Amino acid sequence: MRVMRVSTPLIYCVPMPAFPLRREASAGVIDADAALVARAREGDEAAFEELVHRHEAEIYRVCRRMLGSREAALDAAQETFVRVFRALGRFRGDAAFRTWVYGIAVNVCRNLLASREFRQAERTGSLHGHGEEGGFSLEPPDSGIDPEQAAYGRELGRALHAALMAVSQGHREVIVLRDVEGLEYEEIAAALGCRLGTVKSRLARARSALLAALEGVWP
Amino acid sequence: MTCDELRQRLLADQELPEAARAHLASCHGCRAASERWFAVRAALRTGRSEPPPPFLHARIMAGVRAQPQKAPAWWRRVPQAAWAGTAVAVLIVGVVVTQVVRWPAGPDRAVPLAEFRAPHEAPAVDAAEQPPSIREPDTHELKFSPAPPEPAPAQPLSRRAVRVEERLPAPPVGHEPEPAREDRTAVATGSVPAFREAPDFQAATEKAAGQPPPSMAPGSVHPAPQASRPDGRLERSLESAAGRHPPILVRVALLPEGEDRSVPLELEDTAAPPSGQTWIALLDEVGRVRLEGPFEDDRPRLEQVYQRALAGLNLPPGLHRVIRAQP
Repeated sequence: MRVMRVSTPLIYCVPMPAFPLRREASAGVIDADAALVARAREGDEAAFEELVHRHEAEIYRVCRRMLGSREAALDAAQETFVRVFRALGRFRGDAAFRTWVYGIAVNVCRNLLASREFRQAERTGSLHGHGEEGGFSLEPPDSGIDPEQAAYGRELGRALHAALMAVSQGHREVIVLRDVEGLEYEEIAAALGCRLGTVKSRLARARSALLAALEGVWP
Repeated sequence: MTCDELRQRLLADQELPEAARAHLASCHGCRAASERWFAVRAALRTGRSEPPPPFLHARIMAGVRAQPQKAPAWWRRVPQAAWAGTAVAVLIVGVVVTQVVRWPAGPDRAVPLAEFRAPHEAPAVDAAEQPPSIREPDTHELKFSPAPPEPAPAQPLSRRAVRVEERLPAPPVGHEPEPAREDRTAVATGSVPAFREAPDFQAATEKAAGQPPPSMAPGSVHPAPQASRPDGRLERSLESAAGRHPPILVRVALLPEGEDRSVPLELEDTAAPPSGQTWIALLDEVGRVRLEGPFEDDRPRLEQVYQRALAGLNLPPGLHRVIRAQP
């Protein structure tokens, strides 16, 4: 991969956002989800549609980061909510609805990645549509910066995406859930069905692997 | 603290102790690695992904709506009232089965049909061990109370002869007997032509009289009873096929004209009564038969009552016999 090297890093990436992250599952969100889930379990289609509306973007984003393909992410997001619809009667509410849906999405992505069709399409390159980049968009939204820096930002975003796709599937799962989606360790453990210590150790190894994959392409 | 320990703490989101901060301030390599990691993490967190396509929601909902509407499970479709009714029915059946199976049949209790077998299937029991009880006459009702059947132990299948004796009290000589006892003696000696004179009743009783079961071999299993003695002693010798059940208890009602008396007796339902007597023998598996109304000297009324009693038995065919003496 050809990466344009610029001596100065992008300033807007360096200031650290407050951590924990932007999409905290507040109690109000959980309560609203619980109410909608209760209505949806009674057959209220509008309530289920509202649940889809509330979580479809983040599920699509997870699938996109897990699979690397826009088409595959669309399929996976649809399959995720179909499974949610089927299994809604078995949702016990032990975890938040959002966490539960994340777990289903990860399973759908695992199944898709293990499928022969997906691997064959990945080999032939037919997964990625025309003009599809799939990278992280690192340029500022107002785009009032130097076009050269904007291009550099796009290059870094593609490099980051490529590095994320280069690590193993298990490592990618914890990185996406923790560093992209901002889930807490406990939520990740609930979504992946593993212990908290496993999540912590796996995340440290995953980040190390990601940094290793970025060697030479990330300043 | 070493460089590796510091970087592991950074990647594990762990707090940096004072020693780690001092090392980070002094180690250029670790500071560069720390800044690099924070930059990558910020890029992952703040880097915007391409927005989901606008048709994502419609596509998801189309997939959801394409799912077949799963019908609720059959147990959810059954109303709760039906479940309650089923539970009550099961409870009742359980109680009934428990009563029938666990409780032996007593004199005031209906005998399960399963305990009734054809006489040739039942083991013979010495009737002398079960002395018959003679009811006191009742002018308004005739009750057929069965002697309490004692369950016999299981017997091996073999043929054996059993002697059954029925002693009827003889009228005292030179003493004015009580009317009931006198009549009973007269009946025992065969002075009751009245029933045979009623054609309707005879037709009804002959119709109701069952023939020996098909499995019985006449003459080979049930020999003819011996003649009764003038003192009223009835002695019969029964040879029945040994079975697993005692002989069926039958009620022999000696019905002279204008009187009703019943004499419980154990005998084979195919045994012919002594000559000159009229026996009306009913398999008494239903407890008692009540004949209502005054019917002394009123044969048609008695016949009606008797037939009504037969109908009231409501027995399956083959479970009752009416034996009449030959003229």
